[in-house]
Formats: sequence, structure tokens, C-alpha cells
Amino acid sequence: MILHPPLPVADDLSQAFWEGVNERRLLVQRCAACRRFQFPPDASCASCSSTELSFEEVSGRGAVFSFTETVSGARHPYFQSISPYLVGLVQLEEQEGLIFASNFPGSEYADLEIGAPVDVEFQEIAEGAVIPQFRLRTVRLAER
Amino acid sequence: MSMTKRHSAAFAGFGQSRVFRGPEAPLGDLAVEASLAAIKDAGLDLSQIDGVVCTPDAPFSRGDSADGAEFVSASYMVKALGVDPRWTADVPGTIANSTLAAIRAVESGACNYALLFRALHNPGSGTYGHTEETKSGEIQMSGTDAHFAVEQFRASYGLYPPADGAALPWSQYQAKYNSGSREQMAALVMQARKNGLAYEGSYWAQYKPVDLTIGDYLGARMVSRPVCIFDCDIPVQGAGAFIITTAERARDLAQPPAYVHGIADGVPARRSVTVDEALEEQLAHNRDIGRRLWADAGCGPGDVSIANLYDGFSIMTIFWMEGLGLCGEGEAFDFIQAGRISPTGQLPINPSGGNLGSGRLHGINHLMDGMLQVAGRSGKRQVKGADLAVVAVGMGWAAGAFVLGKDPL
Ligand SMILES: [Zn+2]
Repeated sequence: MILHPPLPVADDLSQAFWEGVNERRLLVQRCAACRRFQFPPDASCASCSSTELSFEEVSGRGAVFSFTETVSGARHPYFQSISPYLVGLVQLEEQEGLIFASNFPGSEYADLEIGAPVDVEFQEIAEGAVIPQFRLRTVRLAER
Repeated sequence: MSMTKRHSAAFAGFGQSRVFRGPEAPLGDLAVEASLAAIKDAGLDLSQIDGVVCTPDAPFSRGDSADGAEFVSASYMVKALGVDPRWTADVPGTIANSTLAAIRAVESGACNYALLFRALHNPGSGTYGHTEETKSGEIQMSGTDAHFAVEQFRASYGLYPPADGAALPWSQYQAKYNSGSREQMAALVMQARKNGLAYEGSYWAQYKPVDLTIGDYLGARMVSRPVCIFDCDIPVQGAGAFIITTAERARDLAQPPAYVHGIADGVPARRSVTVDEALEEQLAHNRDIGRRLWADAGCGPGDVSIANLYDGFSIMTIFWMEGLGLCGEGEAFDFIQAGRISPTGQLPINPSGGNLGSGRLHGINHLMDGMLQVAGRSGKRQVKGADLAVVAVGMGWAAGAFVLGKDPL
């Protein structure tokens, strides 16, 4: 058995988001009435309750919102096998509250700092299964 | 104090079962043991119990759990005790939610003597279930639909509550306030253990009666940085029970009561968020509960003599301290130093050990201590002059806060 992370499974609301991710595009739901973005996708706008929502591509630029290194206690066999690993949240620059999970590929725990700029990239975690990841911009530049 | 008398309920009895690390005794038996002890403590007969309420939710839900084994419901208790209630309820959330329901039930007249209990199962091994392997070897997410909707955005990253849910806001706190090191947190966790060792019902007092040293804490196995194993409560199997009745009836029972001065409910987040682990959301929620609690109680954070603040993870106590206004924003880590939260300090916190010092009985310890302290019943743990206590249990919607007093309103 090949170990891989749990695979995301789209539902009706998130279908367009995951289709976008598979095409290496970060699509976020946006309200036509108040122009607010929201993630995760929902049936109505969390700000104004409008149901006129569509998906719009965003920059993929953001900043570290919070982070940890999971050393022990991972419950999934894949994550047990790669522990310790980094995990945390990033907030996109488009709007406060647009928050995504990330493993900060290429970084060490000591590199991470809240507010540090990150950029989206896409990771194939199993055949045909892609998730967005966010890499520290300093790491990205250093690797060039 | 307000002219309007907002509350007429009181805590009149308490009982706790034996506590085990795993399922050494059937959970149903432990729940009955605690309930009978609470009824006896209050000096009541079984025939007087006309309300039964609990929070049956099992922290380790497997979908195939059985009443009396992995969880215990109100109807299980009704049958086990052979009582004939006119009000029963299984309230989701934590014991905070069922305590709020019990207080309102006696205040509304739905019942006169509510038996409130909570039983916590620990399978001894295993995990809070979010993932499983299917027969084909494929790893998939499992759980309820509500879980599932959020899990699709975090399970692939190995982002799992609850430990990450404590670590992430703690990392935010450190950056925002330039405070909150593990060296600072050690003061809280070491005090919790010390307090728990003075409580005979504590897991640590019964099985591993040793203080936690600074070396133990700083050298402990990390779980999710900065959370180490001692920032997490130890899962146990056990139960606790309370008798809630009206203040008037409580006065005629066997023990001095603890009078309800104020209550406040946790409520769900108003907006959908990716994660419920963000610092601002947690603090805003606790502040909101605090505002409603002090308004209801007609007093303020400066008036209480002790605090019992939920500590399933150590950082949760910090968030309750600041949310309830017991110290200033960003000041909790400074406040917990220099013995200020010890039983003889400026504001004793969790004098019976809370979850960290007594084991994961999900808030039973906090309510018990608040109740017994203001009633002057805490024996060797009695805090001098503890006539008004604040108790805050849980987080998010599965939370509630209480002000309990020695004197009736
Ligand atoms: Zn809108």
C-alpha cells in the first residue's frame, strides 16, 4: 500500500474550487452584491446573505497566519510516517479571513514567522489529487 | 447588585465516580456511581429526582458506540436508577451546555431536583476519529457531514484538531503579544498538577502522585509546537454528577449550597470560517461570553475570589483569563507567574487541578471546585474567603460560563 495523505473529496459547494486546483488555479468564491470573497465556499454570502456567488481567480499571494510543527500525535498513518512536519494557515492578501491550510514546503520550523509572505503552488499528493500549498517567498527566491 | 433577581437556582450536591485511565469499569456503572453519590451528598431520596439531564457526546465517536459503554444518556440513567422524572434531556456539547439546561429547568419549574451528570469514556487506545483506512487500503476521511465539509480543506495537510487547534492560536498569541513562551506556561501547568494532587478524585493523585518539575515540563515530548504532552489533559474514564435545584429548596438539604449568580451560553461563530482555531475568533467568543456573564451576574471580574477555567489544553485557560477580563489583553502569561494563581495567590485558578491536574473529565472538576469552594466545602483545598467563583467550561458553542456565590441573590 502506498501511503498518501487523506484525499480531498469535493462536495456540491466546493466542486468548482477543486476543479480550479486541478488546473493549477486558485479560485475563490466572491459575492456579486457586496464583492466580498469567502472561503470555504458556501451557499450564500456570509456578509450579506446574497446567493449571487461566483468563483474568481485570486493572486495566490498571502502571509503566514499561524503555524506549528507536529512532532508526535499525528493520527493518520501518512502523517505519522513523515513526522515531524510543518502545518499551519495562511491568509491571502485579497482579504482578511481568507484562510488556507499549508505545509510550507521547503521550510524549516525556525524559518517560519507570522506575517512572512507566501505564494501558492500546487502539489499532487496522489495520482490525480492536487492541493494548494504555500511556500515562503524567501525560500522560493533562494531556490532560484 | 441589580434589583432584578435573575436567578433562583443552586448547586446542592456533587458526586464523582472512580477514575481510570481506560475502560477498566463499565461507563454506565461509573455514571450511576457518581449520580448516587451526588444524590446522597444532597441528602435526597431517589424518589425526589424529577429531572435528569446530561451531555452524552462521546469524545471518541466511532459510530458504533453503545449507551452505557462508550457514552451514557439520560434515558440510560432513568432506567438504571429507576427514577420517574417529569423532565429529561440529552444536551449536545460539553457539561457546560447541560448545566445551563439544568439551571433553566429548575428555574422554570420544569423540575424541582435535577440530576445532572457527565460520563467520559476513554477506550485506552485509539484516537479522536477523523480518518480511517477502508478495506481497499485507500485512506479516506470519515465522520459526520459537518466534519467532512471542513476536513476536505485541512485533512490533506495533516492539520488535525484538537492539538493543532491549541498550537496554532498559541503561535499567533506569541507573535501578537511577544509573550507566551513555554517557560512562562510552565507556571500554569505545574500549579495545575500541584492542585490536582490535593484532590482525592484526581487521576494524578490516585495513580501518579508526583509534582511536575520545570525540567519535566521543558523536557517533555512535543506534540504540536509549542504544545507538549503536559499542555494536554490526560484522557480518563470516569463520571461526575451534580444536583441542581432551586435556592429555596437547596437551603433545606444536607449541604450548604452554591447559589447561581449568573450564566452565559457559548454560541456558534456567526460566519463560516475555514478553521475554528484562529486566535481572534477564540478571544472574541470568550469576551462575548464574558460580557453576557458579568451583565447577568451583576458583578465583574474584579469581584470573584477564585476562577475555574477550562484547560483541556493549557492555552485555553489563558484565553479564558483574557476573555473574561480577569487580566488585561496580552497579560495572562505575566499574570500566571509568581504564585498569583496558587490557592493562596491573588486569583487562585483551578484549585482542584482542572483537567490538567486531575484528568479529562471535561469541566466536571471546574464546576465541582467552584461549587464546593463557595459553599465552604473544599476541605484541605479550601481557599480562604472564596465566596464568589467564576467557572468557564468548553470552547465555541460547546461552552458556558457561570458565577457561583456563597450567598443567595
Ligand atoms: Zn455579499
